[in-house]
Amino acid sequence: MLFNSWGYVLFLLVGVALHWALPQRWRIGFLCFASMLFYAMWRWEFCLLVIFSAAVDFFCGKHIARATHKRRRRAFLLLSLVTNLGLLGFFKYTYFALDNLKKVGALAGLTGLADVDLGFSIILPLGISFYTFQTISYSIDVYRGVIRPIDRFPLFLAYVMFWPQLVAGPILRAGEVVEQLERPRTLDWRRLSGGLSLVVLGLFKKVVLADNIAPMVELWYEMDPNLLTGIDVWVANFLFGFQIYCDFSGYSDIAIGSAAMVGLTFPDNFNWPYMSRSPREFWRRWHISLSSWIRDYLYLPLTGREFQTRSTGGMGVASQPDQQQSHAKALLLTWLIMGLWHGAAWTFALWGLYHGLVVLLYRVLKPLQKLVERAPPLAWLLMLHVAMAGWIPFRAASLRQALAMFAKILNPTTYRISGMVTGMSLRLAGYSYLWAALLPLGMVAAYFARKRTAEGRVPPAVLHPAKIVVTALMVCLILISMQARKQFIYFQF
Amino acid sequence: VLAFQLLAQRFADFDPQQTGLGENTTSVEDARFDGRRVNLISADPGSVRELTETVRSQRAAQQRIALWLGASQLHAINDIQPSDRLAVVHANERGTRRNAPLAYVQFSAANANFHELLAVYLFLRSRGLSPDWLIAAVTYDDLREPGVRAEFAEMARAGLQALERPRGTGVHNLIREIETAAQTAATKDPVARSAVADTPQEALERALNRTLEGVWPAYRERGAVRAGLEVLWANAVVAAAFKVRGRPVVHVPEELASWNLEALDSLLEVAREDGVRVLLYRAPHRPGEARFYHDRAEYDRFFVRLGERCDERSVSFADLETIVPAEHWGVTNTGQPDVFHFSGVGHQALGSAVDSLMEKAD
Repeated sequence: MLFNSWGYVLFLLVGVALHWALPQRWRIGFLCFASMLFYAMWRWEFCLLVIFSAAVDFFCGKHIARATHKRRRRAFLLLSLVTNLGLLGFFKYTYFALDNLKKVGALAGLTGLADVDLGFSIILPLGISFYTFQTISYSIDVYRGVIRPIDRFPLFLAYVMFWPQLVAGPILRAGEVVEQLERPRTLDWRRLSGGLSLVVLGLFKKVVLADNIAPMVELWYEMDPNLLTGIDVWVANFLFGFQIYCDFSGYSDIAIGSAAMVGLTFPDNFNWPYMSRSPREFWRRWHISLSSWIRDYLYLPLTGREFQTRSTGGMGVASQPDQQQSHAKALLLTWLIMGLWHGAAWTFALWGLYHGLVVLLYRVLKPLQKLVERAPPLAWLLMLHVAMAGWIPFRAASLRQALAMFAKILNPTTYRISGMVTGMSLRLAGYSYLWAALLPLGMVAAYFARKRTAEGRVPPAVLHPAKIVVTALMVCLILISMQARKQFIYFQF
Repeated sequence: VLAFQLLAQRFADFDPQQTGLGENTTSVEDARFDGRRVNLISADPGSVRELTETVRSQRAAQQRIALWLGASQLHAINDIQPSDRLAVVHANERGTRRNAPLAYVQFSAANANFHELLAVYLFLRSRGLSPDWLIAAVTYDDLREPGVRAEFAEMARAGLQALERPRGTGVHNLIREIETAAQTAATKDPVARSAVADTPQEALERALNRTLEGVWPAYRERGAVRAGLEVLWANAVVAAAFKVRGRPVVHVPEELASWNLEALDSLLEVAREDGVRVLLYRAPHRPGEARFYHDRAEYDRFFVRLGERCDERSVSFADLETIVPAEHWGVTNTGQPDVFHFSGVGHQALGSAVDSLMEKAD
């Protein structure tokens, strides 16, 4: 089910009301049922896949904990990993592998490969990348002895399938959720209204901001890159950067808000990432649960360092200047995998490598580290552009388009305001230049307004009416813009 | 909710279809002459069928067909009066009065560049609408329009299937644009396509929307509210920008103009091989502006070069820039003088001028 739909609004209101009306002992079962209903609104048959995946990990987790021999523990861990990664690989990467095989075959003169056809089509199950990582983390955590295995399958299923995080995260550890699910919860009106506010904020980010920025981004990316100027490419990048931020952080806000409405606390998944002054800070603020997962289950094991146990903190650890140079390979491999996790295409691999290289550069180049310490505004401006340029391969339809756009921003002779914009072309919406300038300014203003509010520097006589007006405006704009049409970008991963 | 209710009341009569053409300027989507349809502004199957019927009946009556292609100037009328007709109707009337065996039909689209006009020509040709004459309005401003919009890519796809072999760089550009459009569509498909299509949620959303519209009539107007707000916002931005900087002189980037002229070359090439005679004309432009909309020197140079290009290819070329007097032009949504759209009187002048050119050319 899409969050940005009236269906979800109804589902959430009824679901939350029923959850609190039911006795405590029925709530786990109810959350499982509601989550299955939520998923079945997309395709009911794929519920079985989620349940199968969860059942394997529940079984493996129990046996890992029970096993006395290390080999047996490893065997069950391996079973869990093979099942999860096998499913992910099959559903997500089969076509990609086949395409590449054909290309390699064509280069090697193996013409027979060109006609290879699977004979069936594969539908990517919604959220598979997310719930797979979640269940893998459970098995590994049990193996590492970080958590005890869950003894009731409904409880484990509620952890895996809990609807707010099922299809696009946050990717949570069992240690963060299960205890909350088990604990008796009482209705807290402040928490309920706080959750509802987050849902409204998330809907606003998605349906009002992201969905209205999207058509402008499409216009720029549909154009032949040779017709763009360097400034056009930056405009396109800034617009897409804000589109994906509003889209995904909007999703996360709705997820966290929905969880809060049934009394569960999820950690933040985004924390003003575009206010970062270095890649280290950026990866502590962007898609925190994924980068924390990658940190604990991929990067740190590759470097032989101590893992952490919570889905907070992100990949900041990988960017520390004191890292050994021998960790560079681990870093690049980690980011390559991070890129391919986002999508089965070489453009995503390039996106991952780009960020790996940026982290490496900041680690190696002392002037960049000094810039962060001595001139924070400049460091912020630089990092903002580095982050926005990074979206080129993420959004580009092909490697060729991505490279052509990179070439434009690296070539100073292409820097001029496009004639299409000075003429206020209807087609190209000259407004996109304006939007590309307004969005970062709006973000900075919102950041400092939020900071002042958090520090208690806004008098209540101003704060409360302002909150009412802003919320009313947001609800009004949501009413105008709400259409169950635009999918969240991260649903495709 | 109260604010939404008020907005819905304010914008209930707002018609998004009529925006963008300028203040008090109306798009005429279905023009008829002698009861027969003579214009199209989109390739919706019903309208195409009607136009095909017109062509078939006119051919049966031994009439030659003149297909007239151009931008929104051809279908927009400023300060429309009940008796106002499009230029294509006036051209037909004049042709009939002089007993010319000629029937005019028209396809126009807002901001259509030459690649899109080429797509339209190929599409109509594939639908049996191959004309005897091709008349094309050359709007300098549209030479800065990049790419090919999805609906035209669709038309081009159909049209190219009926083309025996690709002719000219413009056709190759078109093929590339179609491929890019398909690739982009495939890439963004998971995001762009309806996310609830063919899912149980689709039925749920339909039912909820129906219920909401039933119990709250203002909700029914959400499309109009959205469009109205967008237009208001856009106009406010442009008006503010003009206030600060003055209206900019609109440049046509050289690379875009050259790219679009490749499509014009292909259009002429395909028409020549089809045995179709061609008339190009410099589209009317509002005279007497204090500051010309484009760079006047660049603008004039372009049309001199275009005239030479036409001479080389034995294509008729005419200059109709000043045939509509200044008092018959409208204003834009931001209150600026509109240099593209004129009143019914202007349409009469254009229709008569084109038919008179055809009379001479014939």
